Amino acid sequence: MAHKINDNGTDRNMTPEEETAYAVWAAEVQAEAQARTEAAEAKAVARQAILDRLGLTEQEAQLLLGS
Amino acid sequence: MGIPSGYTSAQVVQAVPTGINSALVCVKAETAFTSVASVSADNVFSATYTNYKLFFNVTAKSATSDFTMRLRVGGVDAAGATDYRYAFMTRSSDGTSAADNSNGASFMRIGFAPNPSLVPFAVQSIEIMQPFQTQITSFAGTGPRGLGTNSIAHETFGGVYTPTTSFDGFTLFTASGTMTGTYAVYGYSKTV
Repeated sequence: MAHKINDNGTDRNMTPEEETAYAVWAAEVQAEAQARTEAAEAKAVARQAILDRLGLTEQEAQLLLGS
Repeated sequence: MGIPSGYTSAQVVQAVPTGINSALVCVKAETAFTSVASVSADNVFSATYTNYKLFFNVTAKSATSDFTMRLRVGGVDAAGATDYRYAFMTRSSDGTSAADNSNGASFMRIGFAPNPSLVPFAVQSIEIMQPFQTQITSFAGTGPRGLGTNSIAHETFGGVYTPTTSFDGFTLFTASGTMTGTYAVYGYSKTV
């Protein structure tokens, strides 16, 4: 299915060139979002490992450090 | 009282000091878009104004994905691989925080993905500084987005387009699904 673009106020189907550019842009944004998610997950795992080592719950850590 | 000839509103202005004119002038009338993946606007920026305000109001979205933006000139988006830099922060009404940043991206981030199935809205007020001048273009934006059934997130961000290119427009973009809403652009008057 063709993607749609609003071209200066008019909704229309993208041209083949616009579809190609859209696909490249979408891939870049999605890759960035994936990297962001993975970094956040890795940070959460590292944080939990430290809490486990210290014997603190997440709630206790938030009281100490702020959320 | 009827609307006087030459006026479009019946609002009454009681007094305007000498030398004071409207600070914001609409340069792109509120424009609706329906179920599109991107929105392009050309011939919006000009030498008449240096700084602009863009309102980007999304009222429906078919998938959870981020909003991004590129500057544009002559109908072509500026997509240099490392030309945009941004810092982006969000804090939600349920107490969680998130951040994102880039020292070299091909787009300007203007919004995390709103949750389309729960509270399908996102509103961004974006200042765009000197896009038409052959200077670095700067962005500063803020606005809320739907997060959960009863929660929202507030986003704030800043960034630049580093080459000193003159632009006349922009493209707003969602990486997956479609979006529905409106946008409008205003120029800041630079004379008294």
